[in-house]
Amino acid sequence: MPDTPRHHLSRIAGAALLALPLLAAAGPPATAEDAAQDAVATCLSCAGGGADGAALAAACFSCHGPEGRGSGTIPALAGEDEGELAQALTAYAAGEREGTIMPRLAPSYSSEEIAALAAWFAGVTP
Amino acid sequence: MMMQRRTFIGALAALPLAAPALAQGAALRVTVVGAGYGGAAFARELHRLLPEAAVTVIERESAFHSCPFSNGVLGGLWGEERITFALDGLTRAGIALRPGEVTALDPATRSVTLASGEVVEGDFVLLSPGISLDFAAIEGYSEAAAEVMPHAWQAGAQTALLRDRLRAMEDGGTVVVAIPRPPFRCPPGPYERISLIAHYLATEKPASRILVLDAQDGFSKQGLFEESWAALYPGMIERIPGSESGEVVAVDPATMRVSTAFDDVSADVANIIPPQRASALAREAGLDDGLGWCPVEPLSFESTVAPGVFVIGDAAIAGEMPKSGFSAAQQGTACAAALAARIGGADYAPRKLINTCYSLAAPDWGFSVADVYAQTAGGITAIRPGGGTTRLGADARTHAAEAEYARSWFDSLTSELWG
Repeated sequence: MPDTPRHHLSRIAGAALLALPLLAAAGPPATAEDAAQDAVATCLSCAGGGADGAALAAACFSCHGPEGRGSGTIPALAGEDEGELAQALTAYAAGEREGTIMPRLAPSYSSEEIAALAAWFAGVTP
Repeated sequence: MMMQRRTFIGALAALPLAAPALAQGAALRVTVVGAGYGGAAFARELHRLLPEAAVTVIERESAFHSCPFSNGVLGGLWGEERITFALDGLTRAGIALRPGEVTALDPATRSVTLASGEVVEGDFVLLSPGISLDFAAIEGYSEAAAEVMPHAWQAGAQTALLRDRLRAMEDGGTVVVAIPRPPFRCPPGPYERISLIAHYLATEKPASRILVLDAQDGFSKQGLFEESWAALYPGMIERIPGSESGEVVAVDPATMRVSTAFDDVSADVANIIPPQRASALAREAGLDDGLGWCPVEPLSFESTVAPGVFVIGDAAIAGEMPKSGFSAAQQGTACAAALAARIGGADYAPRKLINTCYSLAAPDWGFSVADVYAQTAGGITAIRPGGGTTRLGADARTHAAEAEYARSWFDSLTSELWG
């Protein structure tokens, strides 16, 4: 299994912090220490109503592979440029980009959710 | 009133179970029934979120046989190995696998009984048990009759049986496909099956025909299927819809007769897909609340009648999400996150879930329905506008791309779940 933000968190945090990874960071942390710091920051940002990049991204794994590290014809998203990901999703949502599946899925996400998705996938090590 | 009271009790009752176990340092025990799309996704995600929890998956089959892509076996696109997945990948991921058939569930104690008589205790139970086939709904049909007239709606030996009967049929024969009233597993599945059987016949036995006896009037992706049939298999497929007495009411495996209220037909190969309900295990435990399928809380997939018991996949009434392997896997991931949040004493943030369901009309002709669903306290509903099917009249390049994406999706998800 690949290391994930949730992995790091649940290993280091113990039972008291188990729920924190669910509240999720906008971008995945690079190290366990970053993860712990992100976890605290995440709770604060969630209270402000920020979109949950990790929870949103989980729904994408079925086609784009675990953590977006797809290996087939469907493009991998892990480690792609954040700005390009956001731009592509925004264009799909606006009906301005050709595609098969994504022009149908993207309109169901807000611009805030698109930004959170782009940031999350961009932060995954491919 | 009754439902609200149950729901309220359910929310309260499950919490005290978890807290003492964690406080004492004992591992929380979560029993998962079924290692299919839902069960495997749930077990992996819960293990990732709560490595300390003891997750035990109970599965009666020694390998998982996928219904998605099983129509490709019938069409000769690939062999059974493409849809057969060993379960040791779950073990390698750190999840305990217990072979056996669960024969009973006690919702009050969350313990399950295996056919061996063994009892497995758990703090929580996740059921992803799939469907039961209602053989008795069709006069003359039975598990024994299905050895002659396969349903192939639970993949594995039945898939191979139907494939072998198609291969043994002489050119010029009639294949009868019977489709039940909804709801059933995989709404577009019967029509993909018709398409890929037609592909096989057009290639190997072009004088043959397919007679579809359908209890439904309209069906999933109807325009897309009919467009592909006209282009790829002209004159080969005849369909009698429900409004013209298409529903099959009786069969006779001895004479290969298939009967509607209006007509008797003689089949060379008969594929009889009977009406369906949630698995007998779930219904016998009362989880269907008399509905045939199991009502669940939309945010947690917890049974509305049994606190601490969760139901996902085909057996559940998951709002507007269709009964598909893709849906089951998405529900498994979300359900694990909701349970982990509850155990950790945190709020669960409702998710957006996806279902993308590909169908193949031919090896290089694919199309799809793709929707995003919002989880809310009131239900799981498709987000509109947005979503929908491949457009009618799409060009060959689009259909070829969707067929390629279908293969990519299948390989990606199955290797994630069982690899």
